[in-house]
Amino acid sequence: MNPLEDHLNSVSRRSFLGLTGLGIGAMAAKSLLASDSLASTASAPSIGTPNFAPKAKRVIYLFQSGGPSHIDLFDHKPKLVDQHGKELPDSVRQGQRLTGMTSGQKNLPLCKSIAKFSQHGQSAQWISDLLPHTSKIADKIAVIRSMHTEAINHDPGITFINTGSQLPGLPSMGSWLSYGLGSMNENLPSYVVLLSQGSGKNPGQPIFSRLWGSGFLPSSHQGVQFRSGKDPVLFLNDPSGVSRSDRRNMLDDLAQLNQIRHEQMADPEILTRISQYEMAFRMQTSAPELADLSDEPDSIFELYGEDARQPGTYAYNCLMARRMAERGVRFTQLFHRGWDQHLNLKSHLTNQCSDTDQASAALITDLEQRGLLDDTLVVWGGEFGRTVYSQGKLGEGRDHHGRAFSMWVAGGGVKAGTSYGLTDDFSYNIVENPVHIRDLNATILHCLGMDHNRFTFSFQGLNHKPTGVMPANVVNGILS
Amino acid sequence: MKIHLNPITLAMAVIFGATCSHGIAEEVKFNRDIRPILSENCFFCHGQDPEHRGGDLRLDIREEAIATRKDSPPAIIPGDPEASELIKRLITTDPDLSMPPADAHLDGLKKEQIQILRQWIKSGAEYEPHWSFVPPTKATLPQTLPPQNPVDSFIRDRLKSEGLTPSKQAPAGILVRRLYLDLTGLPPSVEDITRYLSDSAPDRWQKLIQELMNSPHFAERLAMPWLDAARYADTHGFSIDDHRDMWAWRDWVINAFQKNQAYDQFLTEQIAGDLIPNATPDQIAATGFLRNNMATHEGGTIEEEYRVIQNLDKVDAVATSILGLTMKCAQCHDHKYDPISQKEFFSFYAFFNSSSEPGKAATNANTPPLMAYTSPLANGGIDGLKSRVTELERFKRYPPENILIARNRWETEQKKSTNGPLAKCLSTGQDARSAADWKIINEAFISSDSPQATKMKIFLKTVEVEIKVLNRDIKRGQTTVMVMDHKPELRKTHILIRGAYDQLGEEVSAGVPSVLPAIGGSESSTRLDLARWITAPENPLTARVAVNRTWQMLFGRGIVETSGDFGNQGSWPSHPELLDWLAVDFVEHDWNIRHTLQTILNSETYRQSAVSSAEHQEKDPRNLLLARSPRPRIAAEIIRDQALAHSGLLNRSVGGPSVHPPQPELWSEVSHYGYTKPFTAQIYLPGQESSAYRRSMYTFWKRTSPPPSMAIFDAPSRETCSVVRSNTNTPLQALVLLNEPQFVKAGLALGHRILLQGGSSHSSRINYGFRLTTGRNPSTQEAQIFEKSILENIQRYSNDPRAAIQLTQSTANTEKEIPLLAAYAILGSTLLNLDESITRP
Repeated sequence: MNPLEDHLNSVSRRSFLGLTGLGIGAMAAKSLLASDSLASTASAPSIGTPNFAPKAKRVIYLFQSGGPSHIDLFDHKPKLVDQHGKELPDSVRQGQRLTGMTSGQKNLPLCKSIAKFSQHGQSAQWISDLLPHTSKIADKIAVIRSMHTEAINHDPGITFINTGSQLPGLPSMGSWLSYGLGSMNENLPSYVVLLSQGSGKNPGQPIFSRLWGSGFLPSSHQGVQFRSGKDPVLFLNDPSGVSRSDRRNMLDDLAQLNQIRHEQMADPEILTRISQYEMAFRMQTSAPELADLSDEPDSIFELYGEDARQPGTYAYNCLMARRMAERGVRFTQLFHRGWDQHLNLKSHLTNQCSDTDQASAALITDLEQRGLLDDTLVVWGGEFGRTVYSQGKLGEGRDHHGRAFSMWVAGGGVKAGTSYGLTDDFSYNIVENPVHIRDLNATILHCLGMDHNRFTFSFQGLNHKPTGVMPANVVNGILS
Repeated sequence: MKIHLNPITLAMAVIFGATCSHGIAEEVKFNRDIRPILSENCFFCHGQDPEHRGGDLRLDIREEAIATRKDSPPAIIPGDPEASELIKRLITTDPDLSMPPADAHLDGLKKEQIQILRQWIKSGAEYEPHWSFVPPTKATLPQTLPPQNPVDSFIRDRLKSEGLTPSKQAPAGILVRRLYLDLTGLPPSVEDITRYLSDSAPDRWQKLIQELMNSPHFAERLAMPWLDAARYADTHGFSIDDHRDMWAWRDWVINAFQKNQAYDQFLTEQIAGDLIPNATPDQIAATGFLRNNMATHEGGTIEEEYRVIQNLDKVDAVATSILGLTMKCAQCHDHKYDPISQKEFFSFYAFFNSSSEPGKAATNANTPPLMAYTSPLANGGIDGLKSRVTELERFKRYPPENILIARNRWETEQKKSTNGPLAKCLSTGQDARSAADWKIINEAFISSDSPQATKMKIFLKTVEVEIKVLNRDIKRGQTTVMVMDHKPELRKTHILIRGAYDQLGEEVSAGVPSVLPAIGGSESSTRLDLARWITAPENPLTARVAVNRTWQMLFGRGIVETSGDFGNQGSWPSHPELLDWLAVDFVEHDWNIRHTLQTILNSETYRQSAVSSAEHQEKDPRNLLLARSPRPRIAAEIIRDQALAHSGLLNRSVGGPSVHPPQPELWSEVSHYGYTKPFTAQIYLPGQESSAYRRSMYTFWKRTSPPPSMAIFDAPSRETCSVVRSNTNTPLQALVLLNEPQFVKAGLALGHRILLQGGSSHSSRINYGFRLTTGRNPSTQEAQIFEKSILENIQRYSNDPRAAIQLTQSTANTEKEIPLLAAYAILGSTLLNLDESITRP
């Protein structure tokens, strides 16, 4: 559906309601409800219009929480082999502040990648052997090896990349997009969140509902958590002893009573409430249907891995993300924990990769084979990277590193097979094409047709932008 | 007809514009009409911040705006708009000269805005100081016979000039319900309504106001919005987000409202109670307000960075909630819109910078400086801590379902094969076992080799930690509160360049923005001087911000819609003279909140009907002018409290430790639960029985995962200061009211209550239930819908007894009664879901 058309429809629908607010009282509630997607626009009033023609309609954000090690996964540094065990040169560190976990450490010994790297595909992307499946989609993704952030700890880091500020209070990217572009589905929320925990570090660092919160935007734009189990959305199930038809009857009574109240009070908000109840009723069917994988053939589980049969796993969530894309969810965000390898680098990072690699790659392949990759933007990455020097004994672990790290993007608007940005021989500093996390966020918005400079919301005296106060730039080098 | 082109009235301008051909006000007011245009479009580069100033031009000061400058003509030539460079730049088509420039990403000025600027320049381009920085005065009230309530004078004067008429008074039953909800956050009972209706005294309204103000629930109601503003919560907020103990501070707030503490004293104690000579423990505890900021003990934290963040948050909380200022904007650079320089920001910050509060929070505990304190409510609250220990002890015997099933299975196996002490313990029935028995059993179970045994080990350790922290306070007989201290010798305050904690600029001493009245005291002003300054009658902001929030509590929207921003970018008051009158009157009456409330509650404006008309919808759809009573959806806490009250489940006890009513276990999905050294507040352990039905304001508030049914109804996360809640209308809210287990239970209990108390016929019961939940009698048509539903549901559940038993969760009734109860459970739930039930009447 054309978002501009959406917008026009919703505007005319709204002005229709505004002008004939009283007249509608005479109409039967059911005929109004049967009309069309009034519910979705009413549930989360949005701007509903992009600034220019979008390349992507929706986003799937595979957030890898904890800080995946770019040195061991994407940023190939052969010269480190000779430097292994030597001290991090001051000329490289350049006075960079360290976290409280290694700032007191006597030595900062350089540690080469724990895995081999090889080149893959036509694009000859360097990818680590820890990610054999991702390697196979090398030609479909753009790897950015020059990401950077100022944050050096998890809470500020993860809040920064998801909300544009290291401190709480601002809306998440998903809620900005829900606010800006609205819903494409009248039976499901426009912003859905799925959580999982890897076997790398268990429990992983905590995450927070502010990461999908709506900040100062209306709370109807907050991410809705889909959970594994029989209640995928909170309070979705009717109570015991209430059948679907009981519920339908009750909602019919309720709609009639609210309709009468509308005739008495002439408050248009009552009509919105009626439509919200109808959307809730539809969601009670559409959400379990979404979570019911019985219609997926075995070949799909071969593609994503057997884990995908197990609700709550990363693989399951990847498959759910594809199902949501098919149903028009605007923004689906996975939060996968466990990438915080301060200790047991080798075993934990290996586990973490084997939990996720196949399903991440499968999602791209699956979206492509269904013709959805062209207008779906997929983002893979975490809040920062990890240090080239060891935390603890040589090879034991890596601390947080925000000055350079790697992410990848694919799909709608992205130039596939791109290698973008360059770090120094230590994978410590960026030497070419730096991409700040807010540049990435500006680029995500750009792919969806939003100009991050013009997309604002006024709160507490300031026209807030999704990318924050500091200037941000669209990364044209990764765009098609 | 006037057009006011500022944010709040722009919408109205569009509406009224249709009936107004020329569209220009005869009289232009700088503050109302001009400043918002300049602020939005010009001040960013031509305001007081020198860093981004363009063309060395300031438009926020008249002298500079009209001055002849070196290489260009004056921006404004009073009396001659067409010769003024300002206008030329606005209308030029040359992209190099056009203002605002393209890279400002503004939409540019509308034709009407340019026209109004022209008119202002033509009439002399006079400036006014920003309205909220000028002390308020009481406007003369129009002399009318009989004398009008001042609120009505201002509201009706404006209605008259806009060609609207006030609505008639709402029916008495509706008014009673409105007053109960507004003043106590709890609904009246049917008896309460009847009592009022049968009271023939002419002052029955005033008597009811008085009666409700004497209720402890009135104090709870006033505390609710203050807890948002004070970002009160039960956890630290960052990273691990383990618990803290600030509930005794929350009780201090309720108690202050209960004893009707004057607002100036209320603020003084919270800002500087510790510095008041011979401060009492209550006064010191009050400073917990400043300690409600989030805190962290994440491993890699650089302490000074977070010490600074905590202080910045204190400034934000005080500035936003008390002064209505967006001071935060001046943290990295001079404020772009308001006259607050970065230096002034850090002078203000200096007041809070002399505490010994560290940048790293304590684990599973309050962070110093703290004080042992006895809550003024709930008998000190220790009983509440003991009940919580009892609740937690129960979890050792009955862990979460998946573990419990595994342990029961293990028990069965063990009973067959084990001898000795374990066998003896197992031979006792589960409910009859002693704590010692359970200890032996659980130790044996967790040493058995299974995944659930490992889970039990982690679970037990976690429960033990929760119990340990409670026992600490129980043993002491007091809880603690985080408080402020004053240690000026600890550090000097510097401007932080670009707001960065490690980039020290010029040293500054404590002070206030120069646009506001000067502060008393010596060069080394303290927080106590600050508190005195904030509460001085001359302070132009404090009283205005306070009465505005009082207004917002009653009408759902402040007279200034941006309750936290009274600056240049804030919205223009819908009724400036009323706001000022109330503010002055508030101070004249010793900052007595009840006095201001009474003034408003006794107005006809407050008592108007909420029925809207075509004219209302056409001329004032947002109801800014109050020709009718507004009907915002009621607040999250009150929606739940009301359902519990209607159904008779509500536990009305006041104060004490926060409680854990049933809610889905969402915490462990995001938290550090499972870590070998457990933290508090990582897994949700619901309480039982009466603690499950306490008022919602007592629900344990975990900042990284707030109570879901509160968040769904727009409660803020309590991470930062928040003075306005959004008011959304979503399908998730419908799911809460329809299916959340406590609401289901409330619907059932309400149905039961209606059956017991509503008489013997369906129609009398419908009448009773409807009156209880809405304050009025149902119309014939409405009653018919209910009756039809009851009859159909009795039939339906008679045909399906199993469903009836499931729905009623009941075994106590005879078989015949169950379908009836089921039908009334549906009725109860329907009543709780009515738009009318969850909307201010």
